[in-house]
Order: sequence, then C-alpha cells, then structure tokens
Amino acid sequence: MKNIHHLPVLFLLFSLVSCEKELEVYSAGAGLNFFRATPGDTLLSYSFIYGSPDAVRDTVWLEVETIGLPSAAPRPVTIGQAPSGANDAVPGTHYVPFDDPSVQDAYIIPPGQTRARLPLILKRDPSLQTTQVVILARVRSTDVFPLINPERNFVKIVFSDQLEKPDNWNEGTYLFPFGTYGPVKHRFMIEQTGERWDNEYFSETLGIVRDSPYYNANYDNAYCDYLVGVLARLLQQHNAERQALGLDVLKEADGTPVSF
Amino acid sequence: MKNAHLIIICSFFFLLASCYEDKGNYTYVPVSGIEISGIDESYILVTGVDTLRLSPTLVTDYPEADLDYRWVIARGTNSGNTVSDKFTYDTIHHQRHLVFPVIESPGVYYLYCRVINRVNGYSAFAKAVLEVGTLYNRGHYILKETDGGDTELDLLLEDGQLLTDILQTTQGAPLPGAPRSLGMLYSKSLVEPDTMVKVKNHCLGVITYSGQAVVYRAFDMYRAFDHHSLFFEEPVDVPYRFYTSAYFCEYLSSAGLYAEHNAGILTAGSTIGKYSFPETDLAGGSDYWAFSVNLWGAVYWDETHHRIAYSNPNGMAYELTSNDFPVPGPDHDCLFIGKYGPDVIRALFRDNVTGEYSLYTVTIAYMRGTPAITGVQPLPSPGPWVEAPLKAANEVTANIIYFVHDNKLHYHDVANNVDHPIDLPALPVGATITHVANRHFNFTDAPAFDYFSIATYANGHYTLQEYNMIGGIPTGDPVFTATGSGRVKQVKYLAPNASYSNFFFRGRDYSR
Repeated sequence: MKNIHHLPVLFLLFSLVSCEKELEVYSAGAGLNFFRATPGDTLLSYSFIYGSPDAVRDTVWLEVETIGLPSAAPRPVTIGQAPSGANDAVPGTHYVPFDDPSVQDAYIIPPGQTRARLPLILKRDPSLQTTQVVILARVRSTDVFPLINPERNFVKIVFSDQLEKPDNWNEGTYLFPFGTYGPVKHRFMIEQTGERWDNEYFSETLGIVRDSPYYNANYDNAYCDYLVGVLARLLQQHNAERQALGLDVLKEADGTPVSF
Repeated sequence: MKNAHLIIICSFFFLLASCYEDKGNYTYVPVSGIEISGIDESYILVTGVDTLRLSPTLVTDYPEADLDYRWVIARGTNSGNTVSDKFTYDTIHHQRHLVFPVIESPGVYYLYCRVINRVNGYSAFAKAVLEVGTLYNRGHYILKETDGGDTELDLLLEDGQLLTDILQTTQGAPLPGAPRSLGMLYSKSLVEPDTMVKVKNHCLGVITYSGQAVVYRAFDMYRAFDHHSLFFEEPVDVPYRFYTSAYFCEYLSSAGLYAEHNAGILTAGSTIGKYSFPETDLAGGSDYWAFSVNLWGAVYWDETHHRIAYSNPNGMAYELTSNDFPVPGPDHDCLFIGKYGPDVIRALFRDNVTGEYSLYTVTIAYMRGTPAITGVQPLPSPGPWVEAPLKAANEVTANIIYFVHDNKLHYHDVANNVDHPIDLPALPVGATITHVANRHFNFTDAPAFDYFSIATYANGHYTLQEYNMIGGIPTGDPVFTATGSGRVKQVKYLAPNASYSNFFFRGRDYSR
C-alpha cells in the first residue's frame, strides 16, 4: 500500500517536467561574491620576504563582484574574518581589521560599478617570521548585500614573513620541471638567479599556471628545462663550495638534500 | 493486492499514449544520394604559380538546377602538426567547376567539395589534401661544395627541374666552410619573424666543417637559427648532424645530443625552438651515425671518448655497453656505421694497435627496444672496402655495403664477406665519385622510392644519378640525372606533408 501512496507523488514530480516558463530577468536583489577568474581562485599567498626589508605593512587586494543591477549610489561592503581551523591571523596584529575606520572608505562598490578591489593591509608582525597565518575572509550578509551565493563568498589569504610555496608550483604535473618544493630550495633559486620565483614569475615569464592545462602562451618547455640545467649546475658549484668549507650539502630543514 | 494497484496505476500511464496525435507524413518519397568523384586524395601546389582546376563527376538523380556547390578550404593553426590543432574554414568557390588560383601561405590544407540539394537539404562531400608550398618545399636537396670550398644547396624537383645555388640566391652567399652534413628537421619550432608567433615548420639543418650549424625554414629559406642563436646557452662544440627522430628534432655534436620535441601536445606553440642542454651528460659524437626505426633513435660513434653511443626514443643519449662482447675502446677508430632494415646496425672498427678490423652487429630486437651488440665478426684478411673513404649501406633490401675503391663502385656482401664490382655504364667517364648512398622514402602521402644515389665530379661540375635497384644493385638507366656546379656531398629528400597528425614521425623508416 505504501508503494501506491508513493506513485501519485512520483506522478506529480513527472508532471513538473512539462512545466516550462520563459526565463525572467534576475530580480532577486543584490548580492556580493569574491571575484574568481578561475574556479580555483580561493587562495591568495603572500610573503613579506619578497618586498623591502624595511617594509612594516603591505596591501593585498581582494576583488569582489556584485550580483544584480548596478546602483546609482555607493554601496558599503562588509567583510569579516571566519575561523579557518588553524593559525588564524589576529586582527590588529597581523592585519588591519576589516572594520577599522581607516579602511572603511575603501570598502564600497562605487556608483554604477559591479566590481571593486578592496584593500587588505597586512602587518609585518615578528611572529610571521616563524608562523604562517591565515585569514578566511567572508562577505558578511547585510541589508545592502544579503547572502545569496555561499559557495563564492569566501577567500583564504595565507601570509607570512617567510618564503611561501607559490600556488603555481605545480610539482604534481608532468609539465613542471623544478621538482619538489622546499623553502631552502626556493631561497637558493631566488639567490642564484635574482628572480622571485613567485606566482607572477611562474605565470608571466615561465608560462606555468596553477590550473589545467597548467601552462599559458608564455610557456617554453625547452627554456624551463634549460633553467633546471642551470640551477643544477649552480647547486653543484654551491655544494662544492660548502663542502670545501667542511659543510654538508644544501638540505631542507628535514634533512632532504636540495636537488633539481 | 499491492500488485493489482500497481498494474492499475501503470495502465494509466500507458493510456496517456493514446492522447498523442500522430502528425507524421507517411507519403514517402525516395531520396537520391549524391556520389562525388573526380577529385584526387591530394594535390601538390606551388603558391603564386599554380591554379587548381577541378571538375567533379556526380552520380545522382537530382537535377543540376537543384544543386548548390560549396568549395571550402580548412587550415590548421599549426599545419596539422599537433593533435590539438584547430582548423579555420574559408569558402572559396560556389560553382561546380573549381578554378582556384593558389595564393595561400605554404602549409597543408584540406579542400572540401560539398554538394547540396537545396530542395530537400541532402548533401554529400568529397575531401582532398592540398599541399601548398613553394618550390623549396619538396624534393631532393643536394648538399654540395662550391669551387671556393664553401657550402651550397641545389634542389632537384620531382619533375626533374634543378634549382641551383639556393643559398647564393636566398642568402646572398654560400655558407662558409666545406659541407659536413644536411638533415631534415620536420616540424622544427621557431618564431615567425613577421608575427613573432611560435610556429612549427619543416626546416633544413646544414652543418659545415668550419663549425657552422644553420637552420633554414624550407618553404622560404628563412634563416631561423645559426649556431649562436640555436641554444639558450651556446656550447663550444664540433657540430656533426641534424636529424628528425620519432618525436624530436635532434642535433648531435661533440657536446652531446640535443633534442627538441617536434610533436605531441607539448609542442602546441610551446617553445621558440632553442635547444636547452643535452638530455643526458653523455658528450661526444662523430660523423659515423645510423638511424634505426626500431630504436626510434640513432647509434653513433663518439670519436672523443672512443665509445659507441645511442639515442633513445626520448632523445636521451647513452653509452652502448655489452656483457657478451668486447666494446671498442681507446685503441679503436670507427670506419663506418650503417643500418640494414629496421632492426640492425653495423659498425666497422679498426684496432690501431693490432691493425685488425671487426664488423659489429647491433640489434634492436623490438620497437623502442634497447640496442645490444649481438655479434662481432673479425675480418682477418679484409678487402679494400674497410679503408674505402666512401661507404654506404643498403638500408632496406640487401645486406650489402657499397664502397668506392680506385674510383670504382663496388659492394661488400656482408653475409659472405666478399666484394663485387658494380658496373654503371651511364656514369661520366673519368669523373671522380664523391657520393654514394641508398636513399629511400615510403610514406602514404608522398612518392615512395628506393634509389641508389651516386654523384661524380669533373671540371667543376657534378653529375648526380639516382637508380632503381634489384637486390640492392642499381639497374637500368638513372631515374634522375642532374648536373650542376660543385661537388656533391649528400642528397636528402624533403617531404612537406610530414606531420604528427598523419603519423609520419612515429616509427617511420626513411633515409635520414
């Protein structure tokens, strides 16, 4: 008997298939997302190590985009920090809080605009030399921008005063020739070549990007192979110099020898 | 009881089918087909010179007045050289009889003839490959030494026409230094000079004894690279040869084996064509070299370190060692390396201490296998062939090695270890033989040939003859005869339609 009760429900569901309406213009009100050029744009990495040694703060930019029609008036944006699970950055210590009066004027969607870049001011706290901290930034639901798309209302900012593994360091892909990441290896590459070996260098100079197909128009596999050869040669020379001084070959903190 | 209710409900669904009003038209009319013939599979065209005229034959019941014609050409972004190629289409003609003055850039195109019945929409199409090039795109390139001792190129076209002194014509002068080798680099990466876009084109790699290593794009003889620009870090080396393996455009020099991908997804505009470092640290090489189709690589002599080396399908070089046979070493000099069939390479060595000669057999037992020394034949009382300066293997049909002794052509029967003269009455009397080779090419989209090639020199001019063979012995009159200035060093064939898409590279056996 239960089956018979289920059948009318199924029949009703099937009948819904035949319901087709003209698509309507979006009218569900305004919303706000973090802008993502690719679906994987949920993580921003930053390190003070690349900048001036005298810098005490720096700014990363969070790009947001609106849902719905533009407005003739400026619209305030409210961003908050959510717990990330570990090493959460401390507002005021590691960054200027999102609700700090000094940055409030910058947290708006300008009149007639659908996108805006919001400054996130990071502070060079000494603790960042030994700890990597995280800000899980979320768009707060407000009367102006009620929460509509929870899948795209967050971005994770990871920063420190140490070398960070660039997002484009795709050691798991067959196109990536520089091998396993290590901070000592990374620093060696920077010191020996004078290049930053950060996301911008990977993308703009080497053509290596994070997302599939993992390369762009700048990619030249022969040039990457050449750099690997140069780095291997430099490492060999460097290790020889170290050994001449009675030191061990260059190793990561866990004892793994640096290699290319 | 439950089942009964279920059946009633299901019956209700079936009853809904009776509400369907069938508005189908069952007044069937036979539909004729359209068969198109009179269009070949491929056409070879010279841009700016040829006009393609085609008149397809149709078999159909439709009246001509109901038919529309649409001729379309399609070209890949990379001339069909990569699997990820994307095509653009252009309609060039709307009449049945095509008249198409060819002004396209050199490359491989597809031509479609679509015939459409405008009444019922039925259509059919035929397809042909258009191989558009310049006169430099296809033919038998002749590497020669000028009277001034420099390097020049002539080109013998399929119709027997000879284009002479191409470097003088296109570059303003021959390449300084005597010619060492010529290699065909299929799908070599380079930067298009007009657009600065990374492209792949078939190129000629020319090497001289003065250390020049120059890469020319075939269709316009654009000088794409010289020794200085060919590398991210220019080596100090002795260049030996360029060649195309299964997947790489390779360059062998005393610094080692350099390889650049010429096919596959990685090559979709991925490199500007400069060489990185050799894939392995094995330096050394020489002019003694042979390519094995089973190996997808070459076996060669390293005259610096006195060892046999080989390249594998990944463009990596290794030393050939053996647990079963002694390998040649510091006391040995190599006198010859040549291939026989897809799996055998023979190498002749002289022990400079004992004065003894040995003929090594290297076998690659299976496709992409590792080469192994499978035999060493001592030659206690060898004939003059061992020290003959001109030698060449029959690479396909006969287990023999050609050689020139006292300016006369002979062959060495490898299996029976005996020598025989070869009489070629058509050879110019009194001229000096400067070149012998077996040249073969067999590919579905190009003319197949298996020639014995020989060139002589007299009074500042060469005579090149190419013969068909029976059992490896040249027979009959020459298929081609060409005469020009200078002294022939090598002859190599260039086929412009070789590409990754048509499987040219993988395991294709042709004389390199």
